[in-house]
Amino acid sequence: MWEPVTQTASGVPLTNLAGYNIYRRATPGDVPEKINSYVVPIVAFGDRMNGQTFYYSVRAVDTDGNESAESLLVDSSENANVIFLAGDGRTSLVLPQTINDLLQPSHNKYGVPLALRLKEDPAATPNVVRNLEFQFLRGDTKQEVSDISFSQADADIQISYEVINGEVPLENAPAGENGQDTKTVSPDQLTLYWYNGSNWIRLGGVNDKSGQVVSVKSSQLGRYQLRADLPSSDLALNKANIYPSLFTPNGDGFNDRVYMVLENPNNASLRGDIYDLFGRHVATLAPPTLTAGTASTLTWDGKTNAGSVTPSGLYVYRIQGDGRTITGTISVAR
Amino acid sequence: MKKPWLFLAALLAISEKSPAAMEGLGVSARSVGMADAFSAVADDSSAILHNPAGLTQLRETALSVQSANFLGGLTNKSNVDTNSLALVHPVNEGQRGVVGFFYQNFKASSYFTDQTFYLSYAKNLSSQAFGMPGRWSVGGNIKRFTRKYEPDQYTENAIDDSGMGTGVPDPLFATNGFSKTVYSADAGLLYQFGEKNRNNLGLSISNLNRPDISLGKDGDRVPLMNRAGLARKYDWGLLSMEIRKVNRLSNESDSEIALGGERRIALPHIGSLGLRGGYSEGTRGFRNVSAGISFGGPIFTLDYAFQFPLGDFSGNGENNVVALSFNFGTGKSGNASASHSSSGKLAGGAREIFPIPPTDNSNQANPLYGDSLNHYLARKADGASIQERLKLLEDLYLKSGSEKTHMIWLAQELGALGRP
Repeated sequence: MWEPVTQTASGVPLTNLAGYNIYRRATPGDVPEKINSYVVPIVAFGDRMNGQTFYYSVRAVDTDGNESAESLLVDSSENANVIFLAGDGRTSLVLPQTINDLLQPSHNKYGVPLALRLKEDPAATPNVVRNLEFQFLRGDTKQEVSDISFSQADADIQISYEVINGEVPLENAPAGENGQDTKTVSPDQLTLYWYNGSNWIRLGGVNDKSGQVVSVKSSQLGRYQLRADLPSSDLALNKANIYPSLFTPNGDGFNDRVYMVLENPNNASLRGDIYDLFGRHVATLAPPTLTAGTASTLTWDGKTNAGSVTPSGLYVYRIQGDGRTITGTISVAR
Repeated sequence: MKKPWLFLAALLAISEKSPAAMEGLGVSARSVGMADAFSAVADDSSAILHNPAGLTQLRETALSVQSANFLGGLTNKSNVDTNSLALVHPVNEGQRGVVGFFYQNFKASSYFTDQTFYLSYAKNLSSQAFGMPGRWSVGGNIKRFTRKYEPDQYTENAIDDSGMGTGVPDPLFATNGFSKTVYSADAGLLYQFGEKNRNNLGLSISNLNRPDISLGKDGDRVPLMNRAGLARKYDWGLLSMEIRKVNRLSNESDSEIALGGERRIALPHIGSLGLRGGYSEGTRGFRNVSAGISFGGPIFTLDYAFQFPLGDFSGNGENNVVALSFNFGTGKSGNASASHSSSGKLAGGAREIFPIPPTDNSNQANPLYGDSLNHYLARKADGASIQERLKLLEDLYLKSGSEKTHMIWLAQELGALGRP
């Protein structure tokens, strides 16, 4: 089933809708095959899959036989993933059933269907391989909305890269001495970053070198970069990945908690604790959901285990896992 | 002849244990070396922080400056440091009490800076105060505390509950600014009793009025800290303990006990050596062990102390304190603590070199020598003036019969008073 189409691409009410064409493919990158013999006049369609996973899309058709642009893909897997596929056929955003209801009017705060858009800007710095922005768009106005996120870090961001002679070209790298060389990097040295509005947060990612895709699971859309940067082989926490390290847990919706985004390539279980400067225990952090390929995020809301807000001041975090202990300071302001 | 004294104590301290600015713990190598079990000792300028009543034990105008770095053992390094300056002045050689000033600047990485100014006053009470013989002292502080937060990219572009920047400033800072100043008060009591007033009982309460230091006036009150300590001073040093009760969290109360000791060893013709140790533990897994060593010469004293956490917090780096004190000039008497050899402290952290008198006070040449020696020690413990001490030492010299052990001690004692 899908949401009915009510507007043209230019935003005017659609008055000559005839129905829908249904397309199917065996893999997301295949050429789609139209599988309906007649225009489908309703917003539902059934297909026999025989245990195989197919990828379906829908195009609206007007009474003159004109087709709209293709919809998002939906697969027939158990997860019923909604897939946004970029033009290169490999960069994608995969939204499982657990979170893709956010796109429906009844499940987002705007009350309208949400569409997805991908923008790619030129790499700003030499070490950036790809510079992408995944956006939510309001279905009615086509305006970008940036203040919503998925309920879980289940959105699978997959960013592809090119390999030439076994190396990944860095198109914006300075030319070599002869003016012809293009700097390259090994496919082993690719790391994903996400922009939180102020800083680039290092996420790591899972590198499928055969498919030439680096992926990470996230609850956020927004700006992502694939950079020439050696991924961590064990638990790591960059200082920039702790934000806002000076936070104000007063419940006003701004800087109410501190996020600690860890690279956790071995998917190790983690324990996080907060102490005061004298070593007195203040709080135990809720363990993060461990999903392969997901940066592990610990958060602290500035409260003790008993639920009271801590006094303002300096605190020490300690995170243990993967045979490592990571410590540093954060601060509560009130 | 009366010579003016000038003390300039420059202390360099490195520690990984931070004094929360309003708690004032752990800022001197000596107190850290004894696990901060200092409220009943309180015989140097850091008494302002532990028990201001202890200032009455000081007889010299003193100035000390300190600098410290904390939390150096963290894997994600943070620059946490403090600088402080203390000035203590006995009014009319302490007859009208002792006034003190303390300034502390605590910088918590790039997050905020705390500045605290203390004005202190301490005074002896009647020796029969409260109907109990001994040496009674009371003291208090008035404090001005300012916390100033540092703006950063997230105070200007606050993060929402999904972890994404909102593009607008954090309303807490936008509405209230980045700094807050409050005033607070401390009070202390010191009771010294028993033989030569060697037994000390110290009580202090910090932050009596518990001001709200929050920008948003949401009840972030500075904790009330209660300290009760006992110390016993010996010719060889001291033993001390302290119990602390603090309401740091709104619905939990912290209780802590600290034990400390100090051993002082005279090094004839060189100076003195001090050895210290301490242990403290309390609620919420608070456990620390500490130790320290000091060497005091005619001009300077070098202190070192380390402290490291035990229990869950262990492995986060040891705590180190190094203190270097310079002492210029000669003149007035040392502290008025009961046991001159227990701490050897002069005001402001500079140390008088306290030789230990011969254990056997008897003297074959003159049986009255022992009595005179005991009288001298008692007067010294009571804070006798330099003139009186010199006169008594002269009397001791005449009665010493030139016995070698007594002569060495007399020479050292005179040397400590600036008399060759």
